[in-house]
Amino acid sequence: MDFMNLISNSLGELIAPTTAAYALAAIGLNIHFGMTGMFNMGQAGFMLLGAYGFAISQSMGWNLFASVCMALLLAGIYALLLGIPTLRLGPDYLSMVTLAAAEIVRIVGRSTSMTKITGGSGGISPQNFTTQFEGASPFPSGRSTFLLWTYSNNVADSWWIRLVGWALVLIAALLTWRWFKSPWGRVLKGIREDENAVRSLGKPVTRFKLQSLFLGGAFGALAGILFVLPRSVQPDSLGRQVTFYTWTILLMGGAATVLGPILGSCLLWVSLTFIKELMRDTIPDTIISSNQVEALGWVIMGIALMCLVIFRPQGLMGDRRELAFHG
Amino acid sequence: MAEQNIPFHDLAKWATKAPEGEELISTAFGDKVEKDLAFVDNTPGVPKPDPILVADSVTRKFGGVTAVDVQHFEIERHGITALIGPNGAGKTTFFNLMTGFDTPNSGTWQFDGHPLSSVSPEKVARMGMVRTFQLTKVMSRLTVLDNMLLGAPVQPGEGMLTSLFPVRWRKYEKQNIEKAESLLERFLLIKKKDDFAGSLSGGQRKLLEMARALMRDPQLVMLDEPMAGVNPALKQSLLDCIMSLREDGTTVLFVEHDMNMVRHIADWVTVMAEGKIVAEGQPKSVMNDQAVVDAYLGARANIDLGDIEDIEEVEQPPAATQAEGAEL
Amino acid sequence: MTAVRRKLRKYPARMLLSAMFLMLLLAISGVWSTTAQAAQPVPVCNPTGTNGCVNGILQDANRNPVVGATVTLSGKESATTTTDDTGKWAFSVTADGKYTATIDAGVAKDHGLKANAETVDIEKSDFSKQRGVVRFDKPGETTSSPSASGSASTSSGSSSSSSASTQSSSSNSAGANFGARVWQQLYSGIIFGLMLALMSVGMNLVYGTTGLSSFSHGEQVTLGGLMAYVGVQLLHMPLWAAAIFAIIIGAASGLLQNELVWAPLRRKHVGTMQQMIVTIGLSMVLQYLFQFFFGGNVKGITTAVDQGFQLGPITTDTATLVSAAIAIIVIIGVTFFLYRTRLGRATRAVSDNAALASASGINVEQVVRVVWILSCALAALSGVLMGIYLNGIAWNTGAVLLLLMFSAVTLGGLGTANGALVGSLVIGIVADMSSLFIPNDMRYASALAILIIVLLLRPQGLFGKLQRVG
Repeated sequence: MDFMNLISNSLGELIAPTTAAYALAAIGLNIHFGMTGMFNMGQAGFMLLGAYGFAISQSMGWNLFASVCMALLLAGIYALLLGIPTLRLGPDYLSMVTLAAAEIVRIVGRSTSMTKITGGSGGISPQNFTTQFEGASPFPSGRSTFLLWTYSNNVADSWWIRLVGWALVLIAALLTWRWFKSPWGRVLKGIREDENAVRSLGKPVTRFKLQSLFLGGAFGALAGILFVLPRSVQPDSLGRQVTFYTWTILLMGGAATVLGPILGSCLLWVSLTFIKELMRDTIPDTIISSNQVEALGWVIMGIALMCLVIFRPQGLMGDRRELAFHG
Repeated sequence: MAEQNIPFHDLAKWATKAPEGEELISTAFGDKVEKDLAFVDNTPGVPKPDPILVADSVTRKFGGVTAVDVQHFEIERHGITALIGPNGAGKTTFFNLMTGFDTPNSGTWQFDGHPLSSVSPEKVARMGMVRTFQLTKVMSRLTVLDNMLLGAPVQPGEGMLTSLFPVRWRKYEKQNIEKAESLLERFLLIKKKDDFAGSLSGGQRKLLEMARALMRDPQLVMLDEPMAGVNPALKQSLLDCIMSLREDGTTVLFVEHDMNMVRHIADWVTVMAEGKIVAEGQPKSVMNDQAVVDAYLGARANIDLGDIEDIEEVEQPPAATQAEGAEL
Repeated sequence: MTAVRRKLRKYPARMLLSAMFLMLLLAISGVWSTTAQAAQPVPVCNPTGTNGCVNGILQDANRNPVVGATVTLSGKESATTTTDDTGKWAFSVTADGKYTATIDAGVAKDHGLKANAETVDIEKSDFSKQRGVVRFDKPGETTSSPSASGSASTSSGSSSSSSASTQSSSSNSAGANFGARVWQQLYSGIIFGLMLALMSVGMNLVYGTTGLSSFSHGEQVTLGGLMAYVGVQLLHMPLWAAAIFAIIIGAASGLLQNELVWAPLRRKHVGTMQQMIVTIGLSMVLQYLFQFFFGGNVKGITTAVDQGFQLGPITTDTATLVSAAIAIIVIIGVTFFLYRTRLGRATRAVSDNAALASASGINVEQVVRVVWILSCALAALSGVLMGIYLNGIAWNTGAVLLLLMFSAVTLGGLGTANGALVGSLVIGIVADMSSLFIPNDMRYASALAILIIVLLLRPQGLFGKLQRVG
């Protein structure tokens, strides 16, 4: 068993684009849940729409900026469509509707009749939408090694996407920090605590919630782009599970904190990879096959999520005091 | 609470007493209201000389139960109007209807001449009619000061994009903080301003909710049981505050079960029972109206406050809530 | 859930080796593999060093080509194609491993084919395994008999974690038999709705009494189906005994999770939204445990092929009719329980107002315990019926149905028992009828869309009531 390899593989997850994508999605979810108290159970829907908006417009030859705007626009329209009927209702309704809507996006996207646009269940392959992004890289082509890791400079799972991804995460974290401390964030937090009280004080609650839904969804859409860039657009790889993992990340790091989502994402993927690699290396294939290791990895994640909520509901970064007055 | 047994007899004495460092509370508006209401008949639904809120045939049904059926009701501007009635009389539902938190089956009402049918609660508040809730609604995981700041009128910092540039809103924030602190001082909460609101006692929450409602200088405040759970020592200052509100030009409508309070600070008393307004008039005459005493006050009319509090605490929420609760 | 695990441990050897090449793994492996390329549908496929082929000629029992039918490839990679004029179809794939080609169960049945799915093993380096030819004319190892109707057939364990992919049968959608299809779809919609109702009623009872929307309810359904499979296939019980076995296990799991998880959480006054997240965790745990022990394939509960028969304009079979009858009887029984028995009335009182019920002497904890047991037992029963109706149950069948349950419950009004029944029927009928107008693989989307539309018009659901503020 190669211990160094195990360590470098696990730590590689620390900077992986997927980790960044999940961190970004969790930052978006944090705006929904941590700040506003909205139970968005369909963050994957925002991600998938963003990914589709970006990839489809790219394959139609739009420029990079226009494609990103397209993704954000789609997320915005989606937020409006979801928000207007449900935001006046209780949290149960929002969670059901976002869950259902994300599933609708996925089912429609993977439908055979949509093959011409979305590629059906096969999705959109990377050569159709990543060339412009890779072309925008300032790095020379080739591969580089930095510390433990060697990746291609520009192509697919590259240093370039890592740089862009983490830069986005950093910007998103700075923005959330600003918002958390602003009067706008205060109104959102008020809504989280008791929206009727905020309403009675003359704040247009539905508008604030829509803004929050849009903003978190926009981060979700960006996360979706980041998620598909190193691979392909696969409707089924952005299903309900992705939403659940994002929730796990958020709760692990601590909702309503600025750094929680980032920390949670890094921790989840590093530890998950570590556990699975360790199991693969130490347990012979005859006892547990490698597919079963995958399953077991998720079983452990599920247990971790349950234990987190039960025993440390404030997450790693959270403030216990804030939870003392819940309900 | 040790002070609970201290009787609360002579309100007249402190009603005009000067708070530390201030001059006597002026009673200009009080005098005006008294003069205006002196010639108004003591009959239900009577028109008043200078109404701020006028409701006409407002009804609300929950299933088969008629929770509110108000034919005509007016609230005198600058006055302190008490709304009393047994539990389930529809007082809170009436509040909800007036403030847009609930939609009536029929009826119209105007605030300061503006019709309010199908106006959203937030607009109602922005028009100058702010309410508090029977079950206090404070934002537990925000500080007391943040709670207060939420009560302030909409400012540029509450825009999603402008909030990113503190230059654009710092000035307003500062003003609001000053105002909030002076209100907190008045409501004896200044020492708690950086604590989470969730750590306050029930009475303090009532105070905070009231102080918060005043942040936007409303023309009409509707207080739903402001005294419930407030300890007698605080009650004095709370009553002071309500009286001084009138002198700031604010109209007050409050629901209360505490008869001593009603008797001493209200300019006008309205009695509701089974959704209807059954009596209206000067506090003295209403309290002595045999029908009202029978319907509501009963033997409890002269019991000490503390006892009534205790009884209220254990009683069930109004029948309306149960009737509409989820049915399996 | 500990009980479940213990139960399953007894038979690991037989289950361990099942292939686990699910789409979900594809999704996960995509996280690490950087050059994952999807399979491509191609007109003609020739294997080279870098690609393998899965192909075939779709012919009916009389060797006539089936034109325009949809073939779905899943496994390591996935894609969809339609057969050409001669019935030919082909996929070019890049990764070694197992692939499953699936056609719609309805199409298979219409053309007298004995299977609608077949799995082949592709290995590019091995000459004999470069190309996998799929025939569909011998009974497959997964979905052995075609389902009587085109309803909700989970494709052979190879769809994604949360999709129910059924393939459209474009070949027989001609307008001539439209009338007949309306009846058939209405019928299968009602049957599907009834089974959904059986699941949703329990979920709604839990919501009503505890305020918890349980995301792990789908896994309770899967548990029921899988236990019936264990009973029939591994313990060689008769079907009725296996069904009872499954229900008992389901009920026990309900009791256990209430005692071990939910009751302590309620005692700690953990918010229902937090509890909901715990159910998500539990759902993940159970789902992957099922996958761990049973693998990714569809497990057929019975192997007997039930001959369909004609009932007016409807084609059906005995098993479906019996399942529907059982569902109706049980739903009537639950309604009777809720309205006529002491405990049932107590349950309704608790949903109405738990504090008031408690104050008037009802033991709320006791009622909630019964509700959990009842709800999980109902879920297990519906899992068994669903398994028979769909010709098998997979590790993710329940998860696929979960959303439809949620829709049904929300549609009917959260926490109202009769609402769940009506909501389920609406969802079932809408899902199946909509495939008359929109592609079959989008029909669940239409059911979910109905949910959103209803919420727009009547936010409290069909039977719910609005709450007072303040």
